[in-house]
Amino acid sequence: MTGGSYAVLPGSVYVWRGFKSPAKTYEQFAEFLGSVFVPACVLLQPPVGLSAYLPTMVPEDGKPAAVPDQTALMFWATAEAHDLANRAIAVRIYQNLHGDAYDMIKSHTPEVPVPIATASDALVAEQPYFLIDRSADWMLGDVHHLVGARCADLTPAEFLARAYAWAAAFHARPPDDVDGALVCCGTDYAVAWVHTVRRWPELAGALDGLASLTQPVLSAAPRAVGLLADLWTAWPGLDLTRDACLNLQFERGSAR
Amino acid sequence: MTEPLSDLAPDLVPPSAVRVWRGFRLPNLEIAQFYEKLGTVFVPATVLMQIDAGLHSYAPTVPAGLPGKPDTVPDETAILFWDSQATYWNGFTRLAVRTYTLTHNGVYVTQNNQSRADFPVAFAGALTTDQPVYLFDKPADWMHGAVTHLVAARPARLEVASFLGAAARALATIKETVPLGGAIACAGTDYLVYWELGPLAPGAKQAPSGVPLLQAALTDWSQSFVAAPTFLPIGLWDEWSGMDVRAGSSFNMQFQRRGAR
Repeated sequence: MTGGSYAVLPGSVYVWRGFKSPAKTYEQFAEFLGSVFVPACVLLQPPVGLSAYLPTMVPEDGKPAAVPDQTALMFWATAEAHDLANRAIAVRIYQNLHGDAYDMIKSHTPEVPVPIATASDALVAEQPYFLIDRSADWMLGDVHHLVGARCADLTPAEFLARAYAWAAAFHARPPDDVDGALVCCGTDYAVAWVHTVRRWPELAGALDGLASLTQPVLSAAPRAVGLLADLWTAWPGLDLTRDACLNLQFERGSAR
Repeated sequence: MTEPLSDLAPDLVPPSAVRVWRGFRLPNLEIAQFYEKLGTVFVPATVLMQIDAGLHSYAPTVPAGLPGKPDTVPDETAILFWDSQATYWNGFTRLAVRTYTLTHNGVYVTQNNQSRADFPVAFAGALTTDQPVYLFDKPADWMHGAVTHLVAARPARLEVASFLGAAARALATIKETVPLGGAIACAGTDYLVYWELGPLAPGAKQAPSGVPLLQAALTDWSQSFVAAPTFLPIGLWDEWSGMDVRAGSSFNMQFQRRGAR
């Protein structure tokens, strides 16, 4: 954190791309995420450093299997806070939830972004990148999120090369007022987020160049939602099939 | 963390308000990992996530890794008392309980109900597999009493029906002749688990016990345990490495109940 605000460096985020377990239906997966996993993340982790959380259920209709079923950004107060949080039993409980909802072979990919300057010629598949090296508070302000399948007329190599060219150009001349941008491509999909501190309805346009390389599956502004329950309130959870793209609002604690 | 029994006034709940847990470790989880999961996540989470949902008493035991324990005997056992059965079921309306419950899958074999918890019925002289029974129809406070636990394997010489019959006869004798504050038992096809609540004065010598009667009938592998009153020194968000859990660990977790805070 800087200066008493909750703006954090872009290396403090975990970029999650989750694929549901083959044993789960889409409805079961959404039920698990909404009734347990997403609210548990928000209620168990902020006291030990979770700074912002933006989960998204990717729509099932028209989504190729190679595109993630769920994405999320989890920002931590510092780059070290995620690992230090494991010292609290609350976080260990949350971490022990992962196993049976996700296909952990497909979902076990790098989550911590690196500067786009470390790439050359092409993005490395499954490596998240940040395109702006500034602190930002992603819980506040506007965010736009893109999930797309690789255009069929591009080979994976062409896709990763052209995604790199877009990202490098974005890094060189980011749109005015955009203070955060994250991108990650697999060989068959792209996910990206952009953030601005002010209301900006045209924010989606900042990702148009990347979207043109894909068949978009989701292009949405995460809705700011606060939970009306605590851990012990009788409450069924969130319906992520109706409200699929969220920017959870919560009270933040101090990092260790 | 191990402390004398709390001097709080007893708070009695019915003998039917207990979930009787018999857990079998996932085969791909090394025994050291199993102990670690129990000590760093599972046992403390049971308490910290469920007090505010009405958990009343919790006494877990870890037979896993004891010499000679057959694989058909549970690796972890526990009794979890609630204010009532309804309190337990209502718990699932709360995120904390749903979250805690879903941590089981990373530790225990849950397919085909191999690891399971059940409410007991009053003992009427016979046992059926996976149906716990209580012997004494009177309310009790298990957190503030002395809890003794027995885990025994079905003797190889006995078929399942004979095993259940022999165990039931011993339990009937206990019910008739041993003055206890409470007693709970459950048989699987290959094991018996039994808990008894002794006199409220902890450590009393020559305390009445049904354990020798069961051990006389179940003569192959068995192990008895005294649940150590144990207090968690932390909250959910404190830095804490966890409890020391090993083969034979047995705890009677001490905590301030929902209504006492």
